[in-house]
Order: sequence, then structure tokens, then C-alpha cells
Amino acid sequence: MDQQEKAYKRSMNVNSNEDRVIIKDYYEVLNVEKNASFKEIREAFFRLKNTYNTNNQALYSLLEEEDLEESLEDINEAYAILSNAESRIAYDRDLVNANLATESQVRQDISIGINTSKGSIGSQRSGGASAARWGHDQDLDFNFGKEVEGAHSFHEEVSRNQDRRSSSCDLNPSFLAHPRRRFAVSNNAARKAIAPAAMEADIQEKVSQLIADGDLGDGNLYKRIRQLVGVTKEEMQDHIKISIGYIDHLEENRFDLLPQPVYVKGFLKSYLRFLGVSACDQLIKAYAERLNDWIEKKSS
Amino acid sequence: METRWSTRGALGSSLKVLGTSRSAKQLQNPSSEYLLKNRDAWEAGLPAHVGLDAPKEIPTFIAIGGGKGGVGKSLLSANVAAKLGQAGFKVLLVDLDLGSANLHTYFGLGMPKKTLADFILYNRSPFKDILLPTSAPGVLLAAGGKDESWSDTTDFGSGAFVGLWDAMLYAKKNFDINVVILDLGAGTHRHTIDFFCSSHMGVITVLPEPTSIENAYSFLKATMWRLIENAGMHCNSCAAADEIKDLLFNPQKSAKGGSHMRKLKLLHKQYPELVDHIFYALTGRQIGFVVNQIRSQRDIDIGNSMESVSRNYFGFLTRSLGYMNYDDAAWKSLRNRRLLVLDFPHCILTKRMSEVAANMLGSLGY
Repeated sequence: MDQQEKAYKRSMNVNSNEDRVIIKDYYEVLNVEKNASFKEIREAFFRLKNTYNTNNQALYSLLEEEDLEESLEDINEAYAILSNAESRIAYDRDLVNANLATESQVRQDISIGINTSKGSIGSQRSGGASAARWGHDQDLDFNFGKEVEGAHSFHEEVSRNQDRRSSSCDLNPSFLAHPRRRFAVSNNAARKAIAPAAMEADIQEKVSQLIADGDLGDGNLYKRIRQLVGVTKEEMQDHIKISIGYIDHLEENRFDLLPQPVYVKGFLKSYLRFLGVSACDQLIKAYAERLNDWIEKKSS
Repeated sequence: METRWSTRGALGSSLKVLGTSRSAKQLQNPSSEYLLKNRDAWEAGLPAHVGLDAPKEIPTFIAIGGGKGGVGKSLLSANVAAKLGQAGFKVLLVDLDLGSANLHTYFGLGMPKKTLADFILYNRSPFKDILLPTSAPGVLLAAGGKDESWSDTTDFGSGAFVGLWDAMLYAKKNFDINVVILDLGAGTHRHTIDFFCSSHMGVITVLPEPTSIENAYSFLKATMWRLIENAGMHCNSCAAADEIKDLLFNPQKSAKGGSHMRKLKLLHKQYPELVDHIFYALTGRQIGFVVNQIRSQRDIDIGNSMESVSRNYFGFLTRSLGYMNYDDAAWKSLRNRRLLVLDFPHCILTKRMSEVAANMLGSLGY
């Protein structure tokens, strides 16, 4: 079951004494108005999350650890429900039905997204209810924070959203067709990304074949791997932030033009990682040995 | 319950007022609609000996407490009073640290001849005579009196302060006082909590240290306790109030976990009238937090955290009023025997005092 759904079910717990459904007021948990924007809700969530932190000195002696956990659970639960357009609408409806709020109190313009968001936002989330939402919220805020003009814009936003998500994670072929956006850095995962082609099985096989046959400490080998993966020097420069000059020198074994070995090792590491060479330690070691030999020879 | 703060505009204007002392003259008759509107809620939580025949026009009461000693209660009271005085308010500063009163020292005064002890204990001076002019414009001081005189009377019941409360409530009528600042002592003595409960705004001063924070919360718990008792008295249901207190504070009887607020809400079914009255009384007073001796942003955040935690836990209308930097000016001015805001008018601590004073005014609706 979806995290959010679980939280929702928990919120509707039945009181056995009265046999009546009791709804928790999540707006009160987050200390926001019933018509708060998604941005306000998120800010409140962050604030509370920081406040009810076990390391927070300000809670000393007031709250037991159990209370703290319970509060945090409530806060996460409230955020899981209220940060999502679909579940928030359902929850608001329940509030109104239970006479805990009036129609005018709850936010009306959320309903714009109800059809389009179905299945897209909910199904995409993975992991913890609290952690899963960061990427999305900004776009939702953009929608609800300002007055939305029409359903169309919301739809566009959601689908754009979907595009962006799938593109950064799945690397689908249509996305690769745009060379400029090929290595777009869009989130944490992508920061230590690997060139997309390097992940393909047949290329990986060829690369490992090349490494097995080649001379490990030779810059030419690296150049051949790079060409095999299909990464130009410029792309490499953009991505690993090492100038083309150094990339050239590395590949041409121009030890006289390279910096100190410690830097060279660092360059090589990011260079090879980007090319998807997972066992790069051996290569780096071999290259560094050769470099050190050269330095020794020069000094003697 | 209304917990929203709609005083931001007022806050801005009061900041402006505090920024320039010259505009103070324009402040002829400051009044707060907020306080007028909440007068009934304020009265709903008063102890029996306060405000039984209060006049229509009363000054605003700000009590400065905090449980622990040495956290800067007197420093804050004296300097905020001076700042309010500069802004054009007529301020009465009352030293209620009975037994170790030394607020006069902050103004560089020696032990005055006539003090609260003469008024409360010996009945030998009228209230008017114990009000001393100070070096700060617009600030009158009622000094606490010698320690010995208070230690004579080990246990003064609430009755001892009836006269003082009457005099303070009539201070607006008699002496045109707008704001009364009560500098409370350390600890959670009954009279200290009474003064705190009876104020429009109770300010808790904390240091960013566990000991101080612990005492601040025990102080708030004592305040809650007293408020429930007062509410019970107002509803003529003292037995029910005792029951509620027992259920809330007695660890054996109270349900484990959960805040006082949640427990109170659960008790609403049992005692609807009394619990409603308690919530009503809670809306009639505000609790402010000031963090003293801050050295980093983390210390400042403690004030904000305490604000939101105690709002959720106790149901008080809370407000983080600001913070005071760790600054040498504090002890230097004391050694110079001059008031901080007058001795070092441009130091960071003086600026913080202005901010705290402005925030107080803002949230009280001035």
C-alpha cells in the first residue's frame, strides 16, 4: 500500500467507545490555516521537523522520547496527506463532511488538479512519505502558490514534471536525442553521474575487454575508452570540471605538463568514474606509478 | 482558538516609534484595541485577589520571569522599561524579586528609603511615595526593599498583595502609567506565578542551557497549574479544577504521553464548561520568550522552538520576542552603575532591547 494511503487510513481511526470516525486535524498539527498554500505547508513542515528533533535543546525536560516520536509521526503523517493535491482534496472533503470545516475554509483551487494528478503524483512517489516529495513540491507550489489560471496549465505542469523525472532517472532514448541536455545535472544522483552510454551492457563489455587487453598505465587506453563510450573532450570538461588541456595531457602521457601526482589521481578518478569504469583503482595506481617513475628520473 | 498573529503592521509602526525617541512626544495616549477586546479573557484567568474591582482603564502588565536565577530578568526589565520610556510610554517598573531586590542598582541608585516593603508589609507609606524617578525618562521604579524585611515574613499569602494590585490597577487613573513591568524573582513561588498569571504578557527569559530551559518549562507548568485553579474558582467548580490538575500533572494518574493541551481536550467531554473557561483564559494572556546570551543562530532558534513547542504543549498564546547577544556591555554598564541602554546607546545589546520592546508592543496591539 502506498505510504500516503496508509497515513490516510490511520487518520480515520475508529473510536471503539463511540463507534464514530474521528478525524485528526492535520492543519492543526502543522499549525497552518485550512486554506494554506502548499508552500506554507511545506515551510511549516520543515519548521516543525527541525523543532521536534531529538537534538533540539529547546525540548529538554518537556517531552519524553516517545512523545517526540509520536509528534514526529503526526507531523510526517500530516505532511504526507496535505502535501499531495489528491489526498488533500479527499481529506478536506472528509473534514467538511464531518463538520470540522466549512466549504469556504478549505482551499478551493486545488480541485483544478484532481483529474490530471491522479496516478501521476501518487504513483511516482517511492520511499518514505516525507523524503519522497522534495523534487515535486516546487512545481506544485508554483501552481498553488500563485493563482492558477486554468486546468490546462496544471496539466502541463504535471506532465512536464513527469517528463523531467523520468528523464533524469531512466535516461530514456528520446531524452538522449538532445545532445545539449544529455548530461544535465538536475539532482544529487546526477551529480556523481556516469555517462549514459557507459551504462549500456555491450559498451561495458567492450570497455572491460579493452582494459583487460591494454596497458593499464597508458593514457592512450583512457582515450580509447572515452571514444568507445562516445564522450567528447568538451563534454568531459563540462562534466568533471577539469580543463581540456589537462585531459589532453593525461591522454598523451605528457607528464611534464601535469600537476602534482595527488591532483592527477583525483583527475583520473573522476575521469574514469564518468566513463563507468568501476574498478578504476588499478588503472590509477598504474598511471601514478608511471608518473612517479618519471619524476624520480627527472630529479636524478 | 485564535492563535494567529495579526499585529505585523502594528509591529512595524512600533519599531519606528522605538527607533526615534523624538516621535515619542506624538504618543499622547497610547491604547491597544487588542487588549480592550481581550479584557474579559484576561479577567477569566485572574486569581481571586486581583482585579475584583478594577477600573475601566488599566495599564498593560508585562511580567518578566523565567524560573532560573541569573538569566537576565532584571537586565531585560530595566532596559525594556527604559526603551518603552524613550518611546513615550509612561512605565512603572516594579521589583518583585522579594528578598533579593536589586533593580535599583541597574539604574545606579542606592537602596531607596521608601520601598515596596514599606507599602506592603508595614503599611507606612502610600503607593505614591514609593515611586522613584529614574535616570531613564518616563520610567518610575518601585524598589523591592531590604532583604531582611521580607525574610521576616516567611510566608506571605496572596492577601498580602491585594493592596499592591489595587494600586497598580489604578496606576493609569492616578499616575497616568501606561505600562507596568513586573520584574519577578527566580523560582516558582506562589506569588511569583500569581503575578505572571495576572499579566497581559508574561515573558520568559532563558539562557541556551538545559538548566535554564528546564526551569522555564517548570515555570510554565506552574503557570498552567495556577491558571486552571483560577479558572475553577471563576466557574465555582474548584473540585473539578483539582481533578483536572490531578489528571494533568500527577504522573500516576495522567495518561502517559501527550501534551497538556491534548489531555485538556480529552477532558472536555467530562468538564465542558470548565475546560472551555480554561481555554478562554489562555487566550487572554500571552507568553513571550527571550533568549539571553546568544552566541550563534542555534541559540536564537531555541526561542522559536520554545515558542512553537509550548504553544502546542500548553496551549498558551506564545511569541518569540527576540534575543540578547552575549555582550560585554552588560557587565560594563553594571560596573559603571549606569543603565545599559543609556550607557551604551549604540551597542548591539541596546538594539536587541529595542527589538524586544517593539515586539512586545506589536504583539500587545500597540
